[in-house]
Amino acid sequence: MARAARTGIQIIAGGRDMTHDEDAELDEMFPLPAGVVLRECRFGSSNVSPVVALPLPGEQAGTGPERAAVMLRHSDPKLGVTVEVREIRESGHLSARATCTDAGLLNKAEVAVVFFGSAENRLVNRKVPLDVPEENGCSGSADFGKLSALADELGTSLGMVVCLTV
Amino acid sequence: MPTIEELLHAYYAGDDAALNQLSARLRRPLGRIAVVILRSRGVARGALVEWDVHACLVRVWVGVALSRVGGRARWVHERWSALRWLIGILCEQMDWTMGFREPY
Repeated sequence: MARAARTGIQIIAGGRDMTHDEDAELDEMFPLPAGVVLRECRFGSSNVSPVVALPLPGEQAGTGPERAAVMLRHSDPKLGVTVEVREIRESGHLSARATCTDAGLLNKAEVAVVFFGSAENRLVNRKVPLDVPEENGCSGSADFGKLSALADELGTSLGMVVCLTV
Repeated sequence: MPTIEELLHAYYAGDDAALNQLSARLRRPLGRIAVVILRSRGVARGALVEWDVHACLVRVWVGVALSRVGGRARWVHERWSALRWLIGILCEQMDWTMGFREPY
C-alpha cells in the first residue's frame, strides 16, 4: 500500500509513468477478472480509408436498383493488411475480406475493422479472423451484418480504420 | 522511457510507432478502468466476460488515430494530460457500448 501511495506521488510530482515492475504490482493489486482478454493492437500508418456516402433510408438494398453497392477498400502497407468491404445488394449485408502478408499470423491474429461516419464520436467494431493460408500470407472473411444497422449507428457516411489484434 | 504525453506528441508529429507504444503501455491500465466502469454500472463479476473490453480499447486507439488523420477533436495538451484525455475517450466508448446516451 505504501509503495502504491509513493508511486502515486511520483506520478503526480514527476510526470513519470509506471515501470514494468509497477505495472506487474498493479496487476497483483487489481487483477483483471478471468476471461477478460486484452489483446495487443498493432497499427501501421493508422490512416483512414476513403469515406463513402451511405444510402438514404429509401435507398436501402433491394429498393434502389440504380444505386451502386457500397464498397470500401483500404490498404496499410506498413501493416501488410488490405481490407475490402462490400455491400451484398441481395441481402443488404456487408461482406468483408482481409489479407495479410505475414503468414506467421495465420490463426493467431484478427484484423480489427473500426467504422466511423458522420455521427460524432461514434465508432463500430467488426473483426476478420485470419484463418486461411495464402501463398503470400493469410486471409479471412466475415459477414459484418446489415448495412442499414451501421447507418443507424453512424449516420450518412462511412469510413474505416484497420489494425491487427494479436 | 517517454511519458504518455511525449508519446502522444510524437504520434501527432508523425511517429506512427508511438501509437503502438501507447496502446501497449496502457492496455492493462485502461482495461482495468473499463472493468471498474462495468462493475460500477452493476455488471456482475461473472458477466464481465460478456462485455468485449478489448473492442472498447481498440476504439479508444482508433479514436486517437482519427484525431490525427480523420478530423476528430484532438488532444488539447494545453488543458489536459494525455491520460485524462484517453480515459475520457474510454468512458465515452464504454457509455456507448452499455447503451447510455445523452442527455444523461
